[in-house]
Amino acid sequence: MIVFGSGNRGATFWGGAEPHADPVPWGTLTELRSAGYITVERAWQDQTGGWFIGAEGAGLTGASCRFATLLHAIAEQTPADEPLCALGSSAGSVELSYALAAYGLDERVQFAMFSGGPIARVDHACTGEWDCVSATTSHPATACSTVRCDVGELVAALDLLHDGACSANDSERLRTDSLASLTADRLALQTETSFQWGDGDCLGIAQSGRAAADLFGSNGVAVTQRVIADAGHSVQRSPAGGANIVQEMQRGCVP
Amino acid sequence: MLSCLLSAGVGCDDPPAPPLDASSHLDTGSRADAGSSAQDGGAVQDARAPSEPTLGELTEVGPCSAPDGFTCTVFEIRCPNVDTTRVAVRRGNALGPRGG
Repeated sequence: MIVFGSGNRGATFWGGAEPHADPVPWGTLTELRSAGYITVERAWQDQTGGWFIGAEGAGLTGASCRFATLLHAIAEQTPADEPLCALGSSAGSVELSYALAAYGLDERVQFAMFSGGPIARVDHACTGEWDCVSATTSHPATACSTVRCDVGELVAALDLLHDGACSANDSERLRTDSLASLTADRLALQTETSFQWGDGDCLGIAQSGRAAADLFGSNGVAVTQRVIADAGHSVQRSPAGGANIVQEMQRGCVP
Repeated sequence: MLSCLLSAGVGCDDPPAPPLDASSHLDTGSRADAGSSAQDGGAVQDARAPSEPTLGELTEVGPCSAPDGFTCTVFEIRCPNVDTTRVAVRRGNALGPRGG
């Protein structure tokens, strides 16, 4: 079974609202289903805010409780001999990363893919004040003339989730709510992870995702990183990105 | 009850219902207790300081529409320190044996 989380507010299904409306992700789901996997997609029902809404001040950790609760319920219903795997795109990868690192779902999720994310350090994501270019030289965004080091439009959501700590540049509070802090506490995640980014993904969340891959790797989990050619932030919509998802799931999501 | 979410159990093959109107089903009741919201331009009054992460509760609300080969179920999720929300979950059946 593979659980898919769409990006942005997460208010749409990962494979699109209707069959073939988003052809590459829909084709990816079909390929995986044909390979014997059950696919599960979530769509938050508040179209205006998705998983951010009604979570003001709760931080990414608090807001991610919603997805973690869903994932936990799925895990409880999944037979022990059936692999449970997950994929998150962009902001959907943020939910997934916190479910694993903060809520202990890494003990149940065997394999996780992050596409265009997640956020390693919330303080960095808010301010953009970190050297995201040289921090991610191992898997650079080669098709970008310049890259952002903040998370752009998501900064407003992060500000809401942290009671204005982004605007106030309250680094301590933001660091506390960061994967970097959570994984340091946990020492070692148990989920094998795979990351993919488009070579033309110039957004800050992608650069932060590269830092998250290094972070997860340093905590002991097996990590695969892949830069997808001719793809932007929505790398799952590129044919090569979709093919990589199928290939990686068939490699890592096995009994 | 997660009958439609994870197995081909009772209810999963029921005819899909029309899509739910998200705005009419989202429970924002706890927001009223939280004072003015940041979305309204005011400051959130209740303290939502980060605490030890605790999972919430999930309950099934009902079916939603889904294409052939899929089932869809709406769940309500209640978590500490955040408003209750709803999520639609679409489950696609396997089309062949594993490795096929």
